[in-house]
Amino acid sequence: MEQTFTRLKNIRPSAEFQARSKMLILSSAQNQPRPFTLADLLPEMMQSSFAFGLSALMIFMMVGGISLFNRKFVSPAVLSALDANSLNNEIEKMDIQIQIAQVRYYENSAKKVEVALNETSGDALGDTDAQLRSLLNDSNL
Amino acid sequence: MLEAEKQHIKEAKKGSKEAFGALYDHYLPQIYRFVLFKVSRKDEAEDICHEVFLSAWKNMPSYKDKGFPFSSWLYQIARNAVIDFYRTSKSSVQIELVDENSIQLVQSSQKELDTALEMEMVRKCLSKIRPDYQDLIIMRFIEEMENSEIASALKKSEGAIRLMQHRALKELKDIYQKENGTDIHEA
Repeated sequence: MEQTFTRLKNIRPSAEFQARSKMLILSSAQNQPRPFTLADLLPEMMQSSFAFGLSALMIFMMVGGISLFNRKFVSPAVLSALDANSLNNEIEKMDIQIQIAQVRYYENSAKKVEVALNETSGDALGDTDAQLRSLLNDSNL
Repeated sequence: MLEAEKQHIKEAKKGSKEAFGALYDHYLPQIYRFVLFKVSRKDEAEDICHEVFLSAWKNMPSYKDKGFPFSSWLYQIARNAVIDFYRTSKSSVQIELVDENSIQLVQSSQKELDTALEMEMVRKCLSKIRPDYQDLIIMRFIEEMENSEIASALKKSEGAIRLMQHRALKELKDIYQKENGTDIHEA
């Protein structure tokens, strides 16, 4: 079989055809290459920019860009907590609330102290009054 | 690729007729055989070959050396030309119509006559296998091209070429057995 294949290699075109065809071909003009245009460059640019874009995306994903992306676009509440203005407002509100709470505390505690003092002093005063009354009564007598 | 061939290609791209003439003389026989096995008629093979090399000459200025052999570019043009030929002519391949002059062998003895008949049988079998298998068998076993060269001509990977080669030979063997009634290795 191999021999048959090798012998098939002996098939050749006729010398007459070869000469005639060659002459005809070489007597015709070549196509001039088209001038370089943007259309020629565009596919290569697209290809390279796609490669760069893909690489950038991969790096972005690798350094945790996705989580930042999620915070920014998926969880706005979380992101608003990172906003400086809103944080300042929140801190100011907290101060006011703390002051009000302190005032309330002092008020409540003052009242409680007053009541306690009254209670404690009430008994003492009551005794003194009674003593005074008894003394007055004794003196009147 | 030989240095001389590289130089011929470079000059032919610039319009050198002598350089392209050298490439033509070198590659015409193998392209002619390839086309002849596909169309089976000498006159049709000559017409297609003429078109192939005319197209190659006209498009030489835009030819880009991508590291593949120059022949793979010519084979690609030839394959497309054969496809166009069948698309336009709608003719069927009839091995009986093959011009006996296409095989320029001196059949002066019984042994050589047997060889010619054997070759005719192989050609007949080849015409019955798939077109891409035909290309592969012609390139690999008749033209003795490297797998890498065939791969670039057929636009396939070398692995795919090896696999196709195995299948093509098996298919050829089966057809040969059906046609001839004997094993291909016995022939």
